[in-house]
Amino acid sequence: MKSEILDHERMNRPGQKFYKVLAESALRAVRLCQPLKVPPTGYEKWKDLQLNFNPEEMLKG
Amino acid sequence: MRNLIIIIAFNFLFLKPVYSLIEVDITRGNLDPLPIAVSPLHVDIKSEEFKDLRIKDLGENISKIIERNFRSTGLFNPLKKDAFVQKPDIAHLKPRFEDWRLIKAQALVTGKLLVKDEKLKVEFRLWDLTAAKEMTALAFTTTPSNWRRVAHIISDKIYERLTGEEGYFDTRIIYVAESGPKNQRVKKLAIMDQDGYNTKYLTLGNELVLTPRFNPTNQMVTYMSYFRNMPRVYLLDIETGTQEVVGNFPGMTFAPRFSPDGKKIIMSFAMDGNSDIYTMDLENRIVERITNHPSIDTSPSYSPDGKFICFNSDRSGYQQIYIMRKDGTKVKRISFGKGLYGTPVWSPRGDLIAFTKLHKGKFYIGVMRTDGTGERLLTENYYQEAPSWSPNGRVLIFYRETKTDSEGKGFSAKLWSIDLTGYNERMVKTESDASDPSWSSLLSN
Repeated sequence: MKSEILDHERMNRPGQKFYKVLAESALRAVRLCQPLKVPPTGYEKWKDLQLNFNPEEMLKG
Repeated sequence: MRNLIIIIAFNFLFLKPVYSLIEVDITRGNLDPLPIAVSPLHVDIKSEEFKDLRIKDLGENISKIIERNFRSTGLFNPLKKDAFVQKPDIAHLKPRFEDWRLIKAQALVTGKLLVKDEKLKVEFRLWDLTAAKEMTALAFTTTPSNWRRVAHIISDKIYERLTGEEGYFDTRIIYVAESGPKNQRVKKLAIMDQDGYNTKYLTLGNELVLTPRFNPTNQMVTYMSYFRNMPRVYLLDIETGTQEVVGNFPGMTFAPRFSPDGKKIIMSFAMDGNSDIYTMDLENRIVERITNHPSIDTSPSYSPDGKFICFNSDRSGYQQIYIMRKDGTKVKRISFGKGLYGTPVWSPRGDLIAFTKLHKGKFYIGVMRTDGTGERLLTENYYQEAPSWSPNGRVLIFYRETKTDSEGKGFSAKLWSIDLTGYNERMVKTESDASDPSWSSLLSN
């Protein structure tokens, strides 16, 4: 399965070091989950998945 | 007919697609340390001997230091080398990513070194194993005796690339080395690498020394010492060993620190039971009085931009933390919790102040925002104090003493570190008992 960061441009913008690190870490997590278990039918429905990672909850500590 | 066309057009506008994109919100994660494989650096067979260094083992030894640095952060889990699947030189060219993934590594460090013409040439690469690509690479040349620093510099670069924060491994710690029975302690100034190696003693132990602090370039140290029973602030040049008394005060001076530009020393001066905060300009020796209050004002520490000072004062009746402008105006109390607050020190990031708190017979190391909100106590113990920040503002080092038993035994003083989050509390290795640690800035900057 192919996975990519949607806001790619922000990855290499100066001052976005933490975004880059978080995005890479999220991408690692997705890749570690592979191969994904997928339903046998409905390929058209799930062939594109948008995963929104939001660390806010985690950082509230 | 025209109406019909409009209706059809409207229908088209509101027609939903057959499927919509599935979105998943992920708001949680696991906080497990990142599994990382640090391959021994490959030693080039063309390497020459250098003094008594075991060149053959240098690649392995450098990788061990990197592993120890990483483990000490609590953020990484360096994997055991017996499971490694590729020779260091081959892995350094291009790792077989799928093989390294089999041993559950997510990142891999490889490198090689060459000692020739009394120079050490090192290069390393950091690989993202899940993405199967190189994340960063660097090569540099130095003198072979610097090999421990090489390991620390590589650790810093990798830490920075993987966390987005500056590292803190190529740094030193200055502290007070203690020996002897509790009522007859010998105290010397000592300096060591952040990992406890390369300890050097800067004073002989004839006079009591306290509270050493680095200047921003790490070449000078200011500290308090008792000479002829008078406690005074001193300045010491680490390279030359030259010492001098700071200022010509008719009484006791203590609790010194440098200003962030290194041009001034800020300290307390006490006379007739009153203590106030003063600065002395190291170039023109001009002394300036910053606070003027009949209470005890002490432990001053500048904000990283040099515009503000935090300090503690008992002007409210109890010792609390205050901030003021650098000229002593706009004094504002920021700590209001129960207990006594002391040794405030401004974070190098500027956003937090670390402190020691004494409440109901227990000592705490904690942090609060610079307006006093968000107080968090990181660790509680029988006796501990004097936090000092790592240069990236992520870790605090402090010291802790143990209780003396009824026979007068069991006393010890050790350095400890704790992460800003309150996790990863660790004892810091020192050759002897130790107190009053102070962290340098990054040496390679």
